[in-house]
Amino acid sequence: MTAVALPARSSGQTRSIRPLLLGLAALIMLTLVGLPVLAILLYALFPHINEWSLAEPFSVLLPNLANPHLIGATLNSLSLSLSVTLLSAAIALPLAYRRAQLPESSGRIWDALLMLPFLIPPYIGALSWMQLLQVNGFSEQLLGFNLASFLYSFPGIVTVMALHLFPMIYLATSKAFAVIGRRYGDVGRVFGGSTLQIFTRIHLPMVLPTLLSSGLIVFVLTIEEFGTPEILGSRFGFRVIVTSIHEKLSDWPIDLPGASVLSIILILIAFAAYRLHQRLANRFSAAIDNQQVDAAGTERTGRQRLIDLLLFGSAFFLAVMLPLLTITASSLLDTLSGGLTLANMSLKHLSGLFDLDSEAWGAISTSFGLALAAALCSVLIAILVAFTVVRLRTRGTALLDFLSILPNAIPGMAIAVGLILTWNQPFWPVTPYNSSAILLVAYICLTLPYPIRMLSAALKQLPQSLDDAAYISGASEARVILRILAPLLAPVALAAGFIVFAISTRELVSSLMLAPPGVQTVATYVFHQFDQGSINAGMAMSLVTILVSGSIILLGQRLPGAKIR
Amino acid sequence: MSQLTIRQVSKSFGNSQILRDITLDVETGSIMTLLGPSGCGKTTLLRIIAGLETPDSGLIRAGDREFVDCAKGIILPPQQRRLGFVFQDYGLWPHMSVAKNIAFPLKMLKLPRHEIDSRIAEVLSAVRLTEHAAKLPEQLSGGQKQRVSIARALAARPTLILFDEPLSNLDANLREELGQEIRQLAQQFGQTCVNVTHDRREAQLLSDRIALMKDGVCHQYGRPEELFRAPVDSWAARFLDAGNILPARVLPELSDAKAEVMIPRSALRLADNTAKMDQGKDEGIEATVLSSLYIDDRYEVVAVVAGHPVKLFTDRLLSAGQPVRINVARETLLSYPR
Repeated sequence: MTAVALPARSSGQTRSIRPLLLGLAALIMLTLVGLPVLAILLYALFPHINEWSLAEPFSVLLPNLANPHLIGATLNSLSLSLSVTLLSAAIALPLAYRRAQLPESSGRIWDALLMLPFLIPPYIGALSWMQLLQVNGFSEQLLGFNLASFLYSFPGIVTVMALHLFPMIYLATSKAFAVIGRRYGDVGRVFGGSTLQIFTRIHLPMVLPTLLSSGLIVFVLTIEEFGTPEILGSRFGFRVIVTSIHEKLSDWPIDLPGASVLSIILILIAFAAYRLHQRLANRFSAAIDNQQVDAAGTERTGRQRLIDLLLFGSAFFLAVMLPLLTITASSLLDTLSGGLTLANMSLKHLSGLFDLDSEAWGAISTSFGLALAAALCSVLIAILVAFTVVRLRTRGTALLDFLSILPNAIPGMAIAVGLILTWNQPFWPVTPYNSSAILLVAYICLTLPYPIRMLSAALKQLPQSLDDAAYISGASEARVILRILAPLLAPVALAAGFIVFAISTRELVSSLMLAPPGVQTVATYVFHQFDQGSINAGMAMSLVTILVSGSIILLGQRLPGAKIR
Repeated sequence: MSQLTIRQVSKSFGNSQILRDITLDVETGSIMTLLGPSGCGKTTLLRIIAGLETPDSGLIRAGDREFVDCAKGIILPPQQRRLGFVFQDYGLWPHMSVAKNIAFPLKMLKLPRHEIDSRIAEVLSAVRLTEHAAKLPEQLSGGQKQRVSIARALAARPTLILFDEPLSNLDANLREELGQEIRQLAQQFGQTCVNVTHDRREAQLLSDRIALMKDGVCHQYGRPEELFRAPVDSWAARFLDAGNILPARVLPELSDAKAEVMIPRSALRLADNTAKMDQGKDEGIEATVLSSLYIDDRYEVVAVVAGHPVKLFTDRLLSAGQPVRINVARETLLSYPR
């Protein structure tokens, strides 16, 4: 007899490593994501928790909550996020509506072009607008006027951020228009609706959930954003929650409990908005599913074509071309004072980046090394978590699921604060804090939701029967993973790795907050060059970052598996 | 001779008992179907036979090999049971060609290369897909994919082939055709098969024996014709759609103690002399035509008897609202006490 004796109630021998996988996945996620969040909460409630004391509970929380600075920063954050969301929607909605009328070929091109703002890290975008519009900036040199007073104002920040974020709403709502547009619009026309009636009575109510859910993402991204408010807002005394946290942690005396209170407010707002977004997104995808769309644009008149071209062209020009041209031009200038002339142009700053002894090259190699390590770790952890959540479906996976989306909802600044509070404690025998390892931990923590989401989605699309068929054919668990799941997931894992790499190379907030003395990353290098006035060197680095991370993101999306998302 | 022996198999998930003391035998070379509504435990039983789930108690033996004996603590992992499995969603590995899919279980058996090649050729010609050997699953139609899945199961000459709703993803015409084909292949290869379905038509197409399951127990077991001619109770009659089910009082001569009767559709005939009806001659029961549709060489008539719809077949067209009289062949009538 070939039977293997086992206790009757244990599951089959082939599955004995499964509880181990669950334990390992839970341990990793709790350490990476759970601890920092817990640390923030504990610090805000018990300011002496680092001495293992619960003394003076709420002694920091209550005074802080009444602090006018905090209230002002919170109101500023809220009004900024709301305004950016509204302006983004205002820019995106007409574009998205017209997108459904475009022929598919040119529509795809505009989609791709309007994705490009994402490739410009927002802090670099803000710096480029400064170069363009400030006193003696490019606009003044070329056209004779500056818009400094607009740029350094509330509407200025709102405009700069909206120009960066509107594609989020555009892409989501144009897809929604495409799904519902032809079908329900045609039905409306058959029953005698006019174009305006069809838009207001049929299209708008149907895209509203998508509009709201993508708007909430813009809201979350705005409230999380550090670079733009720091760069533009600090020039006219405009403080938001994120920049206030930065202040509390970088200006003497350092106020850890105060930073944790601000972080909690930030987390609560962002988390609420994110959950609302998820609920709306789920509802909409449930309401219209399984519809095959063959969107062929309707006939457009010559005048409409011209209007469409102007509409899409100006959005592209403002959101992509202007910043990119500014960055490129700045990176080519020898000296800032030399002005925008051919004689003042060379590749000096660009080639300087690759001088092996330079600070710049140090930053590049640090960033790329960390990003590579982050990509590897993040994807490996994601494979473990995705397999556990999707395939094992035992008790405890709900917690994993929750922890894996948490970094999406929690602002990078809060994660950074959480990591400081967690790892900057004397009781750890070993700590990544004060070494480059803390940056790696931060990057992994921040990027984890992407590979987990991609790999879980991919794994969900692989039916359980593929595994079962292999077990029944006589394959061991290891062979099922190696021969069946690994080859099917490899392209997705690679694509996810590219995305993690690209995000890690451009990550500003956590790099700024966590980098140990003497260590520079690409993002902190750019940021500091501006403080030190070496703007052209900073812009050269920006250009390289955009090109490298941009091509890597594009490469990642072109991979065959990447479309499973 | 029995190829598969199942004795007193029980299984619970948490507080809900999915299977209670299931005892069944499947004869060598025959096809047995586990038929029942969703949640009756049929799929769990199939997965227990496959080794993908573990029962709480009971015994399963295939030929002279013990798959499970909970009393002795024996649980053979699925890898060692030498089974074939045909999945509802085909379960074909998308990154492997048709031939590679079929080769996989043969490679796990460590057969020599020439043997693998000849087995692939044999099963592919049996399912008429020889020219598709190099294709990837995505290049095949649904019916072709399911035939590859069957070929993969046949190739390893398994102890048993398990089918999990093999026809339910296919459209109606293809179902009949593939159903016939599976029976022929099972016979040709002398395969013992266990099939799971919730669909009575699929069960009719694919069974020598049917085990009708309800709430984790085997509710009725027998040849298809036994089940459909004589459902054990009104639930079975309704689930199998075996005939018209009416309260007994509709038929005046039946005593009230019997709560429900099942009348096979073929036991109902329209009285010829509907025209004479108003002459007061008491022939058949009174009914009113609700609808009359021409389906497959005959008219399918739904008539209302004392407020209850009944279905019967006729060879002539009736119009809606028309009063008719229906004769009942009493000898085929089954009555169920409440």
